[in-house]
Amino acid sequence: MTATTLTGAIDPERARRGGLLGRFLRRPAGLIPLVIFVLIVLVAVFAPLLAPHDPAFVDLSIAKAPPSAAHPLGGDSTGRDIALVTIITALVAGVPAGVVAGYFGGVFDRISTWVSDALQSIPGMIILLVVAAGTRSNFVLLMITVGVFMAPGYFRIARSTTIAVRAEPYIDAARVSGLGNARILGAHIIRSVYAPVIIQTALTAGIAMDIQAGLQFLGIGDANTPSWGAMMNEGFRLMLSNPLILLWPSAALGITIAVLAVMGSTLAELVQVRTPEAKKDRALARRARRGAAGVAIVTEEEVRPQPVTLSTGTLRHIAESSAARIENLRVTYDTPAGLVEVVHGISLDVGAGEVVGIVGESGSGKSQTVFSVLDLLPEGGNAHADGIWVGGKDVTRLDRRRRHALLGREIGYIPQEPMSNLDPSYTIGHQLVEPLRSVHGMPRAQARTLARDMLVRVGIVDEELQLAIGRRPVEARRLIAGDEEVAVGVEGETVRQPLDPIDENVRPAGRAILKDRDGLHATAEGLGDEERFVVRRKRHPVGEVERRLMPHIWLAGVEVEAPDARPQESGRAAVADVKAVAVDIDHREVGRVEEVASIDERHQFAAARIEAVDRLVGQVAGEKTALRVEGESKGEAAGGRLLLDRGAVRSDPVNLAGFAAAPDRAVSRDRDALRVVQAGRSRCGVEKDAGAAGGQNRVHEHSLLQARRQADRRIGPAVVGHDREPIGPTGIAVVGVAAEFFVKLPVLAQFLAVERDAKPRTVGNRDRAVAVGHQPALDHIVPQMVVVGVGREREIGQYRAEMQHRRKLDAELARGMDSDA
Amino acid sequence: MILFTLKRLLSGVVLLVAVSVATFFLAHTAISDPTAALLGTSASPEQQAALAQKIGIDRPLLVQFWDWFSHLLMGDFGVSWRNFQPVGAQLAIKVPVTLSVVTAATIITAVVGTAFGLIAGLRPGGWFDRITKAISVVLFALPGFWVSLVLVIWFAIDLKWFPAVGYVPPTQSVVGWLGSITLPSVALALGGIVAVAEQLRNAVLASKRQDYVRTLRSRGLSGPRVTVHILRNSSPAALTVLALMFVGLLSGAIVVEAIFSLPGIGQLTQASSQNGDIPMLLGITVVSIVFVVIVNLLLDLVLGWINPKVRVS
Repeated sequence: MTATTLTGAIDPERARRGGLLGRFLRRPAGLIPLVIFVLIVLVAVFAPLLAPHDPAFVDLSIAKAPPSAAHPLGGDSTGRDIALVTIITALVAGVPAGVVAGYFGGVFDRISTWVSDALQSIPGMIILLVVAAGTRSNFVLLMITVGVFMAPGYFRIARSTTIAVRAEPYIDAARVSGLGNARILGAHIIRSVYAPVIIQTALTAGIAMDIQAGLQFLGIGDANTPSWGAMMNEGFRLMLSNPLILLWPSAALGITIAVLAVMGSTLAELVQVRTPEAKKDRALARRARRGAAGVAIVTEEEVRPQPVTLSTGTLRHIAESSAARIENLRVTYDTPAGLVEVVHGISLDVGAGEVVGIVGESGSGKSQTVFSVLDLLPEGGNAHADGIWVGGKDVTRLDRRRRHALLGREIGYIPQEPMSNLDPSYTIGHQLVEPLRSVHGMPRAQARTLARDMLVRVGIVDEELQLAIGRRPVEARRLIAGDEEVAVGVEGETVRQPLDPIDENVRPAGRAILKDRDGLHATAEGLGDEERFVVRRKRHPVGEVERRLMPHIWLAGVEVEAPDARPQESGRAAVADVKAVAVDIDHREVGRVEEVASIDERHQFAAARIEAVDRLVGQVAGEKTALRVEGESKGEAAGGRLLLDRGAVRSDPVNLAGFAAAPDRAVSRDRDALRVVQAGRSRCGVEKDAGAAGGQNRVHEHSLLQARRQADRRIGPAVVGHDREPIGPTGIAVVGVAAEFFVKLPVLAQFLAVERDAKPRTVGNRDRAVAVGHQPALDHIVPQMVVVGVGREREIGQYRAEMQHRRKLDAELARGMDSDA
Repeated sequence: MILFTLKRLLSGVVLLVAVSVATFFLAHTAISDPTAALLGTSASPEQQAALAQKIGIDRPLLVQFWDWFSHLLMGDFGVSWRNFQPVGAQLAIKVPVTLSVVTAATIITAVVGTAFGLIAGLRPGGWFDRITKAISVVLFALPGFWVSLVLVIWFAIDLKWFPAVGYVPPTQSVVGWLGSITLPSVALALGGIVAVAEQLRNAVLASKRQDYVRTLRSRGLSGPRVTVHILRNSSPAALTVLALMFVGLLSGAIVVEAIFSLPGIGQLTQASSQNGDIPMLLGITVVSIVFVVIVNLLLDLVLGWINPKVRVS
């Protein structure tokens, strides 16, 4: 299994692509400019031989400046490549400083960044003229000055690249494995920095030549060194009598700069875009557009290599009387490999007043299905369906404009993730009011009142109401939390809520709701209003479930009994008092959580310490219930019992699917066999004085407060999984945590401090050896972060032993279950 | 917000002082004997010494510096070594010329660059995008002063739409003023348009993919209204480039002023550089940096207004 995945992941193009130079030469935009550039250089070298024969130069004025007219990089008689001086100066001044600033940060970073910014805000030409005033004959010195002014370009690019690379897990890994800074800089950083630097050089060369020509045009520099700039000045004076004199040197300069620019951008494309751009099937796209009526325009042959699947799913209502209906929907994407089908013929319908949820694994196409109904697939996505009915009309037969006219009137969309669905530049109030006014033509006052009412209806009152109406998302967060670090925690409430009124608005109108639900979002309480679920797996929906069966999919959370409901003051002690019990949906105890890392004030939910959950898993498994965690990132049904995807990542840090339980099949099986640890709502808090970095305690109290608020509002996902298995040989632990809390480093440090017995982790020369990688792929599934922490070698050893042990258990369990079946 | 503004202002003042000081010493080091430049090679040593005493360069450098700097703090730029007129008064005549051209160029850059970048970004890969890209390469490749020359030849000499050279103050004739700055401004703006358009295009591409854009569409907002949202969220990148551009324009103005014979600070700089007129050069530097600091401050405020996150970080 793993082996196949790996094979599939290997880029088949790679061997053919070869090195950067090879790829560069294979592109017309790389090869042609290079050839021209080489020609120019050659012409320059052999100029003395060529120039006298060139008819363009047979001119009186040129007689003064014959051979060096075509000196490519600046035409100084003492050294052709005067632009080279500029480039070298800029390189030497910019790149090392940028790398050091980016790698080590600190005071040097701040000072050098300031200097760089300052240099960029000085009108260089004026300084150049000052220098020129004293060093009239020394053009090299002038070009060095130009180089100094161009150094910030290199500095910025080197610094930002270094910072980006520095955050990569493999750098942390290298450090953990004992590589010194010098080695890391030499081996890893330089390797990443050189490509952007080359690109920058192409640009710099062009600009340097431009500046140089400009200076010479002004008559600055040695009057005895003829060059393009000087020639052009000459030409300018004679322009009325013979404009050609102006034309030739300009053309030569222009072509050289253009060639450099094209080479630079070609290189940039090669370096930055690792995958070749999707070759859009134009004919196909055109047809898709033209036939806005949709009508399954793409034939089976055109939807390439995907296996042909039959349409799945059932339709229960008459098309005309359904609220929404999807018939054999297929969604394809243009990819470099051609069209790829991601939704393989799903059919479902929603009756009037009915609530249907689509649940399924991440990546199974839930969201794609929903966006197809809305006709809001991202670029490159094409939906083809036999029919998509909204309100009893087949909307695929409408043209694009008429179809979009349904949005906000006939059909709406309730986003899962609040923050990314609000425009950060506008106040929340404005975003509520704008469609009311522009789409529904409501007068301003009425729209405002309505927006306000909706906010109140979802429980946003008092000062929060003012904030929600009058502030933009970021500001609102800030003001409520009073602290940017924690503010992230608030977004759930201030921001999520205002969108809900849409829901409220839709419902009273008797509209049906089709929900794109992920297991994570549908916590036990959150299940609420769906009456019917369409369960999807990667390929197709595997069936429908009635609501009454659903609890088995989502199971109970890790609940914590709180004998002492005092607000936390010394959280750690209190936590020790707390008995954490894992229960299933019927509140039967299925295991004991031995350690609780944190708890919110209400003691309702706690983030069970992750190992504890793991142990819980082990215990439950030990009792031979069906609960089990599989190493793959996706759960699988086997032996008629549910294998829960624990979501944490064993081998692939990117694929942190969370507790996306694979609910299919299991549902129809023996209900007693189903016990899955729920992705409970949990919060990570820490006691007041345990935090290592004292200044952050205040932050954390806030987060506790916000945790409570969120708990009150029943919002948001939580700590969902954890796996400490070192990845690869280097020892990166991957932890899945709730996004709201751990976006910012200080909070992260707190989190890790909790994890590591309240000791801050010191790795290398930074006290916070954590990197946060937001997994964009997960954005629309669940706001979730991957925290990559660096373990010390000793700890890594422990993890390894632990994981080996666990794997052994798992293997035994799997054997046992197989034989059960 | 006030704190943020003050911080930026302070940073600007530090920059101003640092650059002024650095330029002072740079100029005095580079121009070791200003009297030679001022008087020409034919001057006798006695004449040179007399002039040196008159302009005070026979004093120690630090004394000269303090003399200059303390006067600067009071807003006194000193007198030109060339004609012994107050520097401030001359700058007051020259600066509006350059400022007219640079401001006009900035406006042209902003408007045209935004339009191009937005249209190209909304339809990447479309014909407009591809044409814009091609034009970008050409414009980037062409030296600014060459473009200026072409503009002069076409629009001033051949078509006679605009005056080829010279400057008309707006106090004299607004139409004449506009005519006199149009060509130089366009010549200056061309390079910047490319940069602004490119930045905006990329920013628009990124903004367009944001969830909230889809959400806005899903709520039925019309295309133009959604575009307004996209534009506002994309503008910071373009604005940043625009501010950097302003610095570049001040430099570029020197060349352009030479071509169009505009009596702005460009010509003044060049002349002062040739004459070794250090007080004038310093005055020009200080005034330029003041403008740069103002523009950067405005940029920061606008960015902060557009996206509150900027202020926080």
